[in-house]
Amino acid sequence: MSPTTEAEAALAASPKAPEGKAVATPVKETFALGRSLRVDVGNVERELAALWTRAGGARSGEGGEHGDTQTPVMRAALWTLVLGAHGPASLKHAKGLVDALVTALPARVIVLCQSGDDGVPDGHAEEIQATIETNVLGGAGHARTLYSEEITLTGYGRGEEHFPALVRSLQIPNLPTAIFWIDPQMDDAILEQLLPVGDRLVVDTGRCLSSAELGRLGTLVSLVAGDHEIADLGWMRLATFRSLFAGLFDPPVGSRPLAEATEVRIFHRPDNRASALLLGAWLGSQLGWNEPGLEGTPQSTGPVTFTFQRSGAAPPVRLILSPDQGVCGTSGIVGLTLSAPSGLFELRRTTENHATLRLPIAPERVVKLDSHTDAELCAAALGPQGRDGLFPRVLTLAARLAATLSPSPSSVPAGARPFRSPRRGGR
Amino acid sequence: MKTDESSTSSPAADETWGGENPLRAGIVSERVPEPSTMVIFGASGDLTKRKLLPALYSLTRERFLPSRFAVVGYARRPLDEDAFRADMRAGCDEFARRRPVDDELWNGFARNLFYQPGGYDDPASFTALRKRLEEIEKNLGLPGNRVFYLSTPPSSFATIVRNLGVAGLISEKDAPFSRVIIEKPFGTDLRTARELNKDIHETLREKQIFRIDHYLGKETVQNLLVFRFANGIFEPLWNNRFVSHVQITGAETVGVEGRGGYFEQAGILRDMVQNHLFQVVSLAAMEPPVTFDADAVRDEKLKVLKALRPIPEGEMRHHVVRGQYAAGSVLGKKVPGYREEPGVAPASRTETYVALKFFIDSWRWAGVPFYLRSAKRMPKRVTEIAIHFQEAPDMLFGRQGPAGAPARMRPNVLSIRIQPDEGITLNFGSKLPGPAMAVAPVSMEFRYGTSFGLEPPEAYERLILDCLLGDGTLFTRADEVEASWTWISRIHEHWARETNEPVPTYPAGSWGPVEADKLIASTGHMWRRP
Repeated sequence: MSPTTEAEAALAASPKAPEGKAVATPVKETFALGRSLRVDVGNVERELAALWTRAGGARSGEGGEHGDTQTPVMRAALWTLVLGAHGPASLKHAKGLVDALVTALPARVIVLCQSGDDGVPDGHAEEIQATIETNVLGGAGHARTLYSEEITLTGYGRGEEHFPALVRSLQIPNLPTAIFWIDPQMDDAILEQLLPVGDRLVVDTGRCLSSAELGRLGTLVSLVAGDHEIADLGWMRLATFRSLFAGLFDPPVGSRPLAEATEVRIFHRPDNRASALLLGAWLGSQLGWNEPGLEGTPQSTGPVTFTFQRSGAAPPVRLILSPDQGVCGTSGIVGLTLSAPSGLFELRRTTENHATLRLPIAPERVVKLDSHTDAELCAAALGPQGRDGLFPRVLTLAARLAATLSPSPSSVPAGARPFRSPRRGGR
Repeated sequence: MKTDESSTSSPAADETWGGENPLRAGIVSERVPEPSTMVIFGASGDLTKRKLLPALYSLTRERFLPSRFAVVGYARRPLDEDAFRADMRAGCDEFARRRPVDDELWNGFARNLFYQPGGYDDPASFTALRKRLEEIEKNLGLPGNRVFYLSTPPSSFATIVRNLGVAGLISEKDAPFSRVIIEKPFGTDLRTARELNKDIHETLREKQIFRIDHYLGKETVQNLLVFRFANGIFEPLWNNRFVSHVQITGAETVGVEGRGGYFEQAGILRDMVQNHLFQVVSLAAMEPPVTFDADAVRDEKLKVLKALRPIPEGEMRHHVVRGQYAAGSVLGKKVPGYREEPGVAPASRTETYVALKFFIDSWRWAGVPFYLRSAKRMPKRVTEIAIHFQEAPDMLFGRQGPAGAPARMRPNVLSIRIQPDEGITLNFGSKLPGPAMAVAPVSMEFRYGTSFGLEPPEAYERLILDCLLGDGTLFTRADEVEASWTWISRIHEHWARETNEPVPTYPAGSWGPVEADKLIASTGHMWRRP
């Protein structure tokens, strides 16, 4: 069976190698691997069952890699994952993510692809198309596990309207559902209808290229945070940085330098201002900084300075976001310094995977600063990090800071409309 | 410009700026201990090189250790610091979980790695150690939190702890903290365990003592608790109404590996059963704790150990079988018998195999036999606990057995594999496809290693981290140790009296002596082949 789209063909030709360290390197069978099988939209479940049967009967020479021994295939699934994609490039990214993710996390994956076309193109009679594929994990002498089922639904024209109902019909009963809405171009109207059947929403502030996009995401998160667990890949990319920086103020240093800080400077790559805003908002949120004010008129690419007030007699603190061309890993953050009367506290990335910690009372120290792949972050987003109660509060402040940088309504993407908060548990 | 809203409400904002670090608040999965120093006694030994330093390096790599952290190796052997660092680097190169070792990270780690030579019974050496620690802590900005890891011969444990106290190295306060990790074996019988507890309690509070049993650091052992108490379907079956019997197996393929002298004094009952396997038994048989804190869990484990029914002296041979391996073949290699191993007496009576049948006198387990066996030179390396459920009360399906009696079906067995290939398997009967009503056993298997795609940490990593965090849940408490020795020591005392009783042998590479098969067959059961 041939791949049905160009993107899928490209994907089929590429090996499905795990990308990250958290992803296991299992023995994978060639059975159905890398092949998208076109199926009728109404028969997805039946066609998947047929694939299972084939997998169970696969012997050497028929795609199985277990010699003459027939070993049963068991399904292992921890989640139903729903991913949004917009257009072929976005689909390719989403499918690559899924390929790396599912070896770490057995799941049924439903990829919803908005074709990006206004109408039904030539040769696509249906408004919606479905393809399926399965991946089997096995090892010599071991049982074989069907560790992922991927269902790709591509909508043309008004076909996207069927997505929510199809997702509802394809969810695995009694397993949690996570919705990955990481492409900022995806239609919020679809998300609105999906959220009631989802348990966790995963977004990515790291893909917000403008302050306006960050503000829009902030609005979305503030509306749904009460009813859904929210994970943000951008926030998770900052996790190691935050943890290491926090460690500078462990005993015996203590929190006094934080209370007496006069200036905090965040060095970030020019196109990662959203990450810097999030990091600055975290500090402001945790340290009780109030009444943020913007100094001067911000330039789209230049440094930005905010001034915050603090309670009591403490003097104001300046937060400076400085574009920097240094190495930044995947977070976009190059370094972070805090100036206090007792000295300078600094965390700065020195290479892609290391950073240097400096503080007044101890020699500088090199620490590991891994850059996690998106697949690793997605897997982590389904764990405890995906229930980070701090994130919505921080994003709210970051969105407010972003609003001071791009107050013009015209910067909001065309077609965006107010998002209505859905409630979970719908059918 | 300024906004008109008063900004964030922070938990930190209204608090005084004391020692609490407001940036730590709210960080998910944050298990980073405070800056501290670990002193390893016995630093020139094998355990330090193979396990402890690789674990500390891995913890550093995974950022579970604070960025300010120092390690001081302490041993009798005169050694300069560079040589010690090189030796530890070699250990990490060979044994670290993540290899190759990251040079840049190692260099930073090694700068805070020190060596202090000294005796274990020399108070002046401990005074020198204190001065060295104070100097290191001052230079590295460390607050004085200390963990002392006793990886020495057990005969030195009490002396080291006493000298730590005399030298003023133990803080009675919780901040900065002083904690001591003590390796096994903790005593060789009830009397010596009690004496050791008494000795170290003269210097340390129980809360400061972390008796390590690396089995408790294994993910699957911890998963026993999750499996039992986070799932609603198993616990209702976990009792004498539904469980026929329980089998625990701790099998090794290795022999004494050049440690004949040590093993002659220990035997498999001390080496494996009193500590590792009894911990597994207590976790498998305990009642649900009221909370998941250290003492609540250990209280419940202790109740199991205290409920072990003592074996009457006259009944010992019906409940205990020991054996020694004779020459044989293991994993395709010929191996000598135990008595032919270096350091082993030609007429040795030390057991390399033991099988036990015992009962836990509690409402939950009344009448359920527990069978435990542990041995060296078995056909395969495996540690598992298997819950054998009672058979269906009436056999509707299947062939007729002899003389028209209904054939017996294989009972449902839930086996929890602790090592290797950690996982859980449930066996049940299923109809074979076809017109006949034929039933075949099938196995539903969960494999820990392939289901999550995440590499579990080494047991020592988890346990060292827990100690630094002050969490004693996975360490054994004084009363637990004494309770298990109370039961085990009776067997040793019996063996000491019965010097004329022959010690059965089994060929290396077999599943043990026939006497062990008879022991379990006497109650209508048979050993599982794991």
